[in-house]
Amino acid sequence: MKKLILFILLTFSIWAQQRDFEFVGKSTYQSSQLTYVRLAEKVNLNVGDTLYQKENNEIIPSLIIKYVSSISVACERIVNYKINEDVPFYGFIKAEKKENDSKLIVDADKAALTPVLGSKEILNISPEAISKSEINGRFSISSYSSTSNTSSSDIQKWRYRFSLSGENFLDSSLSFNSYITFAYRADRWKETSKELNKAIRIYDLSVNYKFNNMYSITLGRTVNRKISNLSAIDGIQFNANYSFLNLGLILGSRPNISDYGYNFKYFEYGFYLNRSDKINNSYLENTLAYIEQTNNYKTDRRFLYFQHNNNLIRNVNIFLSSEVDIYKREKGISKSDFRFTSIYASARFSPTQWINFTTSYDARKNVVYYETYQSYSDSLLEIESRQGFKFRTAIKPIRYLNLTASYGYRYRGENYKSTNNYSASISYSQLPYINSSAYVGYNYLSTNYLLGKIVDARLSKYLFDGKLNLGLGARRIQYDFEYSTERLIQTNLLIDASFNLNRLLTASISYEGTFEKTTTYSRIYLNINSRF
Amino acid sequence: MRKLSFIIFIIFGIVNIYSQSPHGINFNLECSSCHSAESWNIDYEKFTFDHSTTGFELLGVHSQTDCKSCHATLEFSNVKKDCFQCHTDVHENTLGNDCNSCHDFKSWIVTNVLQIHQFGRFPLIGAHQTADCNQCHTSSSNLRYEPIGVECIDCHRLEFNFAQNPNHITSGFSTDCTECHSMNQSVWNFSNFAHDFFPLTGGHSIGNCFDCHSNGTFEGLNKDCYSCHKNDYETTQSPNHIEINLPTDCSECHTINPGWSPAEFTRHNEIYPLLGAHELIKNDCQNCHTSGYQNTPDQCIGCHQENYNSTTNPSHTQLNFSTDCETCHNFSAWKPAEFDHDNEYFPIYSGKHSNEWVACSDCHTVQNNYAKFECINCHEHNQNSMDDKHRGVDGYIYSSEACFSCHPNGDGEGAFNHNQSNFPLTGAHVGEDCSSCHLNGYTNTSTECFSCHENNFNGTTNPNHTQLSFSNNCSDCHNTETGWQLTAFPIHNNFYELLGAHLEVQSDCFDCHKDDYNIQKDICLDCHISDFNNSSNPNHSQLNFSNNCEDCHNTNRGWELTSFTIHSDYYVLTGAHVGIANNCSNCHNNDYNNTTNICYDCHTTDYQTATNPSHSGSSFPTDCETCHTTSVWNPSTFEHDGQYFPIYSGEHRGEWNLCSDCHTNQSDYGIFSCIDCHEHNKSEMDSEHNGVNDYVYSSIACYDCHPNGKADKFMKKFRILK
Repeated sequence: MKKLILFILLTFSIWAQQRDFEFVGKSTYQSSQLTYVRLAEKVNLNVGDTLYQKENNEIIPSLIIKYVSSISVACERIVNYKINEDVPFYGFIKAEKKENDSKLIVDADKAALTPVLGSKEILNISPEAISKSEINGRFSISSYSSTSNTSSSDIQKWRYRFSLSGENFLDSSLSFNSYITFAYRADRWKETSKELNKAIRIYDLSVNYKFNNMYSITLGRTVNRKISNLSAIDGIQFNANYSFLNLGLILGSRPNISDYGYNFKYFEYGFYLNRSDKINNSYLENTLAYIEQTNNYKTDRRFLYFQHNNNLIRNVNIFLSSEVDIYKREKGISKSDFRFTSIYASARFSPTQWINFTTSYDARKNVVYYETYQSYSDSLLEIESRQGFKFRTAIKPIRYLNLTASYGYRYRGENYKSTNNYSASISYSQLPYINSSAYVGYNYLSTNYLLGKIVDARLSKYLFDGKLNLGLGARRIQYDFEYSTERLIQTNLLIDASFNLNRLLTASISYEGTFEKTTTYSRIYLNINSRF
Repeated sequence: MRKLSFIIFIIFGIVNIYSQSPHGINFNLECSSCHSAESWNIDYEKFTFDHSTTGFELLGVHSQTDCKSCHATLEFSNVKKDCFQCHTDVHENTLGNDCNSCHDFKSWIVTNVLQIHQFGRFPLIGAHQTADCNQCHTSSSNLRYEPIGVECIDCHRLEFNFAQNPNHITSGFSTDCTECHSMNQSVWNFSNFAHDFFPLTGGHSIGNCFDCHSNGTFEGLNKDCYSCHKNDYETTQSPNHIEINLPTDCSECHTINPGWSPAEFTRHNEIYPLLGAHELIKNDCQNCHTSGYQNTPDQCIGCHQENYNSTTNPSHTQLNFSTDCETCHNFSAWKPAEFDHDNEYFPIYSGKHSNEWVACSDCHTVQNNYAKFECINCHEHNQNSMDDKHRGVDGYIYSSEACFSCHPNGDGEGAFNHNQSNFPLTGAHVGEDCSSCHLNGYTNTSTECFSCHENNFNGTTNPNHTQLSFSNNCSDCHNTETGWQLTAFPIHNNFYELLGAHLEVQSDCFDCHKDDYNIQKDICLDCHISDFNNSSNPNHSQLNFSNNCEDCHNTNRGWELTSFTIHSDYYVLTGAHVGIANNCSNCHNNDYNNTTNICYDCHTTDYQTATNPSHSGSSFPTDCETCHTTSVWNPSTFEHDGQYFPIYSGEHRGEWNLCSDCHTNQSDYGIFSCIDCHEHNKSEMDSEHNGVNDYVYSSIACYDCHPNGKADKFMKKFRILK
């Protein structure tokens, strides 16, 4: 019967006739800011029009249209109560319906209407706009044990993670985020129990309020993804969204350098400017940030951060980020400087679905905080940068079969031999008969102090409709040392199992054993993860 | 009916979605793949869409994640595929944006730490395999991975600085930890200390570094044993290493086993070769060194006296065998003894001497020295009998050694005859004692003179053979005649070359050497001083000639003059004289004392016989050099025009044919005639000199007024003036 009614409604939605004060449609989603109403039929509505509810034969103005598409409208609420779904809305419709050649869509990210030329009607709706109040949490316990038959430094480490986030808390414009860990070594529990705060790491504990679709403010500690290299920020972050421009202001402090706690003497401030452009089907995003970090309000570090990514060239994704320090203190004298602290660039080229090439280059120097590290900042400056280059290609000639080859190069000054790493692998994700994935890899590395040859083989299989994944692997490793004729042969045994008990609860256990002639090393990971 | 309506709904719904899909252009998926008829909400239990068809297979946690966590819009193709686009980079951009290099889809937990490092610069080995990540990757967030050095000291600076046993800093250790420690170890402690550069095994396996590193430094200890074990070397008494001058390289004898044993004395053969049976017991030192290592006898009997005494077959003591065991035995075993008296020495078990003796001492009269033997003590070999028998035998003497040398088989047949050997006895050798030459037996006696006469050679002083490096082949100069008579001296030219007249006297050494061969006489005058002094033609001493005879003479007999380089000191030979320089008698006429240096004295005949002009007739001067040079007589340098009267120029040129045209007196060219010429007849001259005062028609007057043969104007003018 329901299906029949729905059928009738849908039919009605298409062929219904217009009237002066007519049924417009029903609410489908509500966000903190807007209420979306799907139009029962194409009606001639404009921005600023009012939609009404009928209650006890009263017509109550409820919504003002902010955005219009061909099949729905997004409206600001006039009433200050939550509007029930399936409540019909009515409006005064002009008698003559007019087809608009210029179709409108809602840009997902910017929630702004953008005219699009095309023949098909498209409605993209921001999840922020359409989601209801939603709270997600996660709690996990993990254990990491490392033992050896010769070492007295066996360790066992516990780690608890808790995260909780809420969007549009209580259907408001308020959101919050938290991500906190508590980790300690079992053999040091006594020391840890006396200073629990040192075992706690708060990576995120913040609230966000959106004034509207343009302005928002965040309070507390959080990592700003636009400038994630800055670490977490304790304080105020203001964000303004102007179409394709995004401006952010930062005022606060960075975490304590010893225990990641709060320490407001590490005052910092800055801003960033982000611009996102869509060019045809491609995007282009640039972020430029200026940050000044202090220690006791004395300049500790001042730097620029630049991030860029685009896919302007078809099938090519390019990413670039760089930190440039513009402050230097030498022998106690401060001056402006221009020193690349880090550069990271990567490019991925995927001419077809079955092959891709990825390459990256990175160069990093130690970050120097002149005030915090004033006793040895000069020596830090002298340390050569570490540079790395990676190239990787993955080929998928047939379904389930993956071939990879990669090369890595690391370099750190003339006094150190560079590291070269060559590897290749073959994997097949659907072996016949046993329905398992198999992987065979080879790795040759040449470092400052050894030459290594590693053969790797792994097998994994999903059981119970994918709820259980079992993995088994082995590695044969041969190390020849530069400084002696000693040759080290290792055999690694890898066993892991992960359980997806349900969508909210997962558990995993992993064992990694290393066997040498007389020595055995073992690592065991346990993890239980619960979402709510 | 209900089914039909449902089907219609589905069909209509699909058509409707195609016309109004919120999922974007070209989204061709059936609604029912994700949605149900009850609600647009996704029922993940009934979700059938194969996400791998999009090229992004949902693995691990992604398979449990709500769609909208990734798909920010309903247009599913508008999705960010890179990890960093959805996930916050908690590593603060220190590891790049390729999350897959460390993480997998199961969880953020990194379980392949070893593998990650195998793809980096620092594969984890040894203690690093069990280390907590944050021990190396220190950061306040524990998630920031700044670049860290891969040199040990980059992380272990504190361990280095605070190491006390030993103190690495004061010991001057290298900061390259791998020089001492192995990376493939779990701990730093001593048991794992990589002392590979000097393996601590055997006796060196000691627990206290300071036993060797006694001065507190751990840098550059000398690896020579002696540097540490000097005291052991010097105080060892058995044997006393210093006394027997054992090497200070302990490893020559000792291993690094504790207690200095077992020792192997590789230099034993330098002191006493361990051969044969001795080699078998070389490691059982006490067998020989029963009383320590000092004064150990090196004679067989020193150790084997008991063997000697107890031997019965034959009884060494009864037979008075030599106590020099090596005479009969070798080092390998006592038996078989290799003593074969008949073949090796002298037949006593066969031949004529078989059964002619009773005890070894019959012949070997000196006990303990069986090299000594006697032949002549036997009753059959009395001297008179032997002298008679050997009469006429060269080299015969009555001695045991001589007997044996000629009769090595003890038989008269085939006895040795020196004259039939390759060294017949001649000259002074005849009658010499055999032992004079055969000092060391008769075999292998050299036939070289020098082997016996080395002392003669070395002792000779006139001349000193050694100083003059004479050949030691005596026969080059001597024969075997008594007195070392000189028979030849083929190397005389090495000292003084015998040429000319000297060759004629080469055999008469006395002529020159006067029995003194040491005085050097290689200057002519040494021998020829009397010849020099007594010379009279010319008198060499008076003329103070050089006493180097070779300046003028060679060695040919007769003192033939070969050159006289000082002739110019007396008379310079120039011109034609040079051509006859070697024909001395031309001028000297064998009288070198009174030879003139005036031309005319030699050339008187030339002067007197000269006819054109006749010198003597013309009363030419006898000083030839007035007109001639020493080169040739003609042309001479006589100049008639300049000196006397122009006849080759001027008025008279071509006006005469013969000197006699004017010099009418051929015997006196001082007389001339002018007036006899047909052009100068008196009447014409008188006419031309009309008015000339004092004019006379005579040749003298002509010449007085016309010395140039010209009737010049001056003279005319002079005449007028007159």
